[in-house]
Amino acid sequence: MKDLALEVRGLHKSFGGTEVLRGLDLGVPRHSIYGFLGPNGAGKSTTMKIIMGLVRPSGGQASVFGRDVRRDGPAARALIGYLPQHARFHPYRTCRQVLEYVAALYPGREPRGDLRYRIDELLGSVGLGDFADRRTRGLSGGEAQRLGLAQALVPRPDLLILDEPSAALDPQGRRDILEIIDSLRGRVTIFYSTHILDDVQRVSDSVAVISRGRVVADGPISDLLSGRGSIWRITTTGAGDSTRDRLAAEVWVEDVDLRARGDNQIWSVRLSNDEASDRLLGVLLADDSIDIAEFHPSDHALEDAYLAVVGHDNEG
Amino acid sequence: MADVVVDPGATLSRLRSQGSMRGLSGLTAAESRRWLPWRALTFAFGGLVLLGLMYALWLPGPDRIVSHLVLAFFTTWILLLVVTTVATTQDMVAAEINRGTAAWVVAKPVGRPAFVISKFVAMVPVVVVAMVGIPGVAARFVLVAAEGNGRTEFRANDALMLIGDPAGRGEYSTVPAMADYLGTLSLLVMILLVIAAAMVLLGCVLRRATTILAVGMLVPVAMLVLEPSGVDHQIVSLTPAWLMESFIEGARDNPAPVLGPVLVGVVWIAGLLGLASWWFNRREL
Repeated sequence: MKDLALEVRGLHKSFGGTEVLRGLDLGVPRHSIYGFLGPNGAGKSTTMKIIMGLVRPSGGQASVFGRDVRRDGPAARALIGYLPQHARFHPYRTCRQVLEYVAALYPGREPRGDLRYRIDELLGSVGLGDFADRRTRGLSGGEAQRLGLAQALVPRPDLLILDEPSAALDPQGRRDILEIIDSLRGRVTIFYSTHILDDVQRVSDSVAVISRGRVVADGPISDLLSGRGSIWRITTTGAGDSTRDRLAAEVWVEDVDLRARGDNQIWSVRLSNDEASDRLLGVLLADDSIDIAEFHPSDHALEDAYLAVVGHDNEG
Repeated sequence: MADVVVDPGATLSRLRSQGSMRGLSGLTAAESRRWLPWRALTFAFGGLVLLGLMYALWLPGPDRIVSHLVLAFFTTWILLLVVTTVATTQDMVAAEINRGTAAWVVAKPVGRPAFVISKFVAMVPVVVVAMVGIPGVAARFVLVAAEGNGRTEFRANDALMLIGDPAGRGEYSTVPAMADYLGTLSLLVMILLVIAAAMVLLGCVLRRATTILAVGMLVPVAMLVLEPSGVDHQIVSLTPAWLMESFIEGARDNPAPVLGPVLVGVVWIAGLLGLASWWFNRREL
């Protein structure tokens, strides 16, 4: 049995007559960086709020390092650093005071000098070193998000739960957040939701895809991508309709998508296995009416896999 | 970029007591730090300024006596205390819920009841020290200062809370009686704390600040009108209205109980805070 930092079993939640979670199961291995993907309204934030004790589940249970989040709520939350989707702070506190306040709410007190040093270090790490004595009412959305990450790290958590951590950030901020997440690899379990699939592919070890209130795919990213064949992106000039028809008839081709963009034709071809790429190239070269400008595997394999599982679930 | 230092597993060994009151001391300390430097000093300063103004206006007249000054001061001050208590406590919980900071705080390892009760506990020293104690002590100094020049001449029923009557009811005295002073003070403190506890409950139940303020203003009014409205005294003595009744009787220089109303007040505060905690506990944030 895996050593799980977070375990969710059969989680149900209804708001009024609307069922948001429908028997959600989840297991986040200790020390993993676990991406939580899903379309808007799929139940990602609700799941995280249930874990944090902010919302009561209609059924099922969740535990953090074996501690039930309902029965042992404070004890479970003592192990968690949490960044909500929209970070909110007392407007009359400075950034430093926010972190001191958070430190006072967790068990175990650090010597004042050590805490001050660590708070300076944390604020610096999220790019708010110059904002330590600024009141939070003056922070932009992105700055509040950075402060939100810093306060989540104050208690030296064993589990970090981040709800859309980079949603409000500019590219630099997004990269900073990813670097921080990456720097925690192997020491802290990180469970985070996002819409940005590139981020997931860059830092996550594992993912769970949630759709309509239940997990439709989960596991290591390599597992999610394996067995799905490979996707190739091709840019050509000239008409390619006959070649498209020919490819679609091949047994080693699972799907062909052809779209015009200016003078170019953009192909997306899903193959049943990587070895079939040589055959694909051969077919394209055999067509004298087209010239190949680009031929490469897709950079968006996870996005394709994600759309496939979510789309399949919606059809079901 | 600085590397973030973490100590995985360390918090497991730091886990101590659990339960709904977990985090109460940390929350109360933080809440007190918010209250005391600003609002408490504002109240205290405001009270002293008010006292000083009245002192300056009343004392120079040849026929003015200090007891009239104290009576005027405390009549004004007590009305201000009640209104200020309602106005300053109406946003203690509701504003946190509306702003989203309540969700942020209770996502930490604290019990929800601790969050609610910390609001009230932080308010207690403000009520006792800043809103009642400092103006009371200041007025006492005024009396002592005026005693030397023969201007201190008062009777127990001339003043609302500071002045007792050790020499016998109806007699004039130059020495304030500490027992009466503390008894009346404790009644006033309890009245304000019951109002504060009711405001905490309203903040957990209602969302709009104006609604909370409007309903909250009815609390002291209800305490004031329950007894004169003809309700049986046995029933009144089970409610915080007994505090108000006893306080007014004391101010009129009539014998009035203190311990009974204070105990009833304590029970009501516990009940109101218990109900507030229960309500907040079921709330989804």
